[in-house]
Amino acid sequence: MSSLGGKVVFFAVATTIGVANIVGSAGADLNATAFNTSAQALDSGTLSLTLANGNYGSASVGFGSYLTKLRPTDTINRFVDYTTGADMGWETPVLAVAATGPSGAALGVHGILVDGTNGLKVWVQTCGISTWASATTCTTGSPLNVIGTGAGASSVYLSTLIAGAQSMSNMVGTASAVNHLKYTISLPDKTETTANGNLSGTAAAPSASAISIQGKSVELVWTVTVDQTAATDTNA
Amino acid sequence: MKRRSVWVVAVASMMLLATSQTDHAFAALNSLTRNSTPQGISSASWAAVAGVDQNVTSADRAGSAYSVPWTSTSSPAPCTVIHWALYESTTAERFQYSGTKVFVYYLDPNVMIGMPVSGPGIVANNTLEKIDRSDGTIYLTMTLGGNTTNKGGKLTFGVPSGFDNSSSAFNATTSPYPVSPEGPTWNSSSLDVNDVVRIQDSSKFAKLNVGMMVQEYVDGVIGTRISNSGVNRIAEKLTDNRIRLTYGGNSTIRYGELLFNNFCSSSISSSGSGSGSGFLYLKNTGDFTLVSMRITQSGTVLSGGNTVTWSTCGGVWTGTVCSISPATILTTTSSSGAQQLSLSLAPGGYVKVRAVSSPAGGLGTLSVSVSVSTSDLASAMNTSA
Repeated sequence: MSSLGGKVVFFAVATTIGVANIVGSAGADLNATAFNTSAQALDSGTLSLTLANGNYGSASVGFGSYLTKLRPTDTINRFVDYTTGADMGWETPVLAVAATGPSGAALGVHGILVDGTNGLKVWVQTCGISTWASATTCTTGSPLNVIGTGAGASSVYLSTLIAGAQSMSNMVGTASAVNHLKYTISLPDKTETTANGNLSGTAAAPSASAISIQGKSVELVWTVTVDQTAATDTNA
Repeated sequence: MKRRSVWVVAVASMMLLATSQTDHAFAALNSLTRNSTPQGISSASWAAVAGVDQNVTSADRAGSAYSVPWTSTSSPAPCTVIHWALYESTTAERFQYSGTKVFVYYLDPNVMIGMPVSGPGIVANNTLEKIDRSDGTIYLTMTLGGNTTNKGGKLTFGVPSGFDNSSSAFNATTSPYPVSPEGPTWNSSSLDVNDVVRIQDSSKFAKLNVGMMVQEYVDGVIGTRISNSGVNRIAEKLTDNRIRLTYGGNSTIRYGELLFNNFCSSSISSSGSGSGSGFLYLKNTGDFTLVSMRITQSGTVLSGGNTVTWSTCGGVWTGTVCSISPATILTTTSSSGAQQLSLSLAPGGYVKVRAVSSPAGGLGTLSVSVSVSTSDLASAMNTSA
């Protein structure tokens, strides 16, 4: 039916061009039209990916909570779900981070929190379409790496994700799939000494020192971007 | 003419449609999702400071060491190199009986009950039994009676002469006459550094100080049977009027007299006038529980071979007395440098510390610096939420 319809259209176009030529060269004409009496219904699909708080046996607070007063080697786990819409799947997921925070010394320069030496690191894992049974185990199978390959040294500095979006591994992009992700955020080890209230060797409180990891704050926006899967031609 | 225009529009529309379909083959939909509320993250701070009270903050200190107000807490010099003469009575009468009143030229404030008294014909082991300072003279009685022979002799008592800056070694010839508590009882006859001895007279016990020299005194003779060749020192004052000696107790006898001299070992070079003390607070001004910190002390209080000892109190400090469970937490000498202090303090927590210098030096200065490093923090967290 579709093939026939295409021919009709082609014929109509050719006819129209011919008729147009005739009209341009002669005063009298005949014409005919043909059309489908039932309108062909078409609608476009929606590529959808939504973010929600996850679960690890308990409901996670997701990204909404304020992680306060981290110290070097502290590790915080947060669980979020990425749900794909029913219309279509996706591919090439990437993760990017945008960081903002106070920039004045009086407010505590946040830059060190997201630099590539002392700053925050992240390790993202997934249970795929399985769910997290606990903070470390999946209900089915084992956690797979998405960003980074482990805790500590094997995690990825946020600075990398700020500089450019990074590919996410082991993500399931089929329509309606839910990816259950765990974000492990950590602060690398760093030795600092505070002497009588000031950062040792300086005349400033740690929170007012750009070289100190202490007393800083930052706000993060985690963005996952996906592309539609390659278009396919179908005949029917 | 109108119809021609219609057809031109139709052709243009078809061409545009064809172009759009071609482009669509190279375009793609994409989607993104992000947290609409930024995730806030902050880092902690860690610090501890010393100060005058529990309200001290890091900003108060701003990198500065704390200067502890220092006061003299002991009038009798536990360590002196001042050349003191013996004191003599002015009375030339018979000291035949106990209770005899004796007048003296000068009543030194360091003269204490229990000091041995000697003089021509005086009964051995006699001691100064009572002091009356009300009229500026001394009124004393002889524990064992007075002069058995005549009334012409003068009594001598007090701290020894013969000790000066160049010689603080004990000299029996110059006859030290310090406190002589009655009937000290050792808890053991073994040579054990944990041996303690109880001083029965509370007033005398109160006058003793850590660092005071201790010697054996039996039958009027200064012997060598106490540990360390007869010369020992007070290492610690304990509850119930007990003291612990630096080198342990008496190796051979269980009962006997002890002498507490008002002089120190030869390492002392200053001319202090007594021990001193001060109070300070240590406070955790950071965000995390501290399990330790590093302390550096300096100042004249630490000069002259002094030791500064820090104590905390499980109860309440009343003046210089702890109501319950006093505990020594730090001992510092001039060469100690930075010291690790194992002291757990919750965020905002504080502890009141008493610092005592001994055996030399009364007034002086003591500066306290406190530093906290990452390694002094309680264990790191790994939490899920």
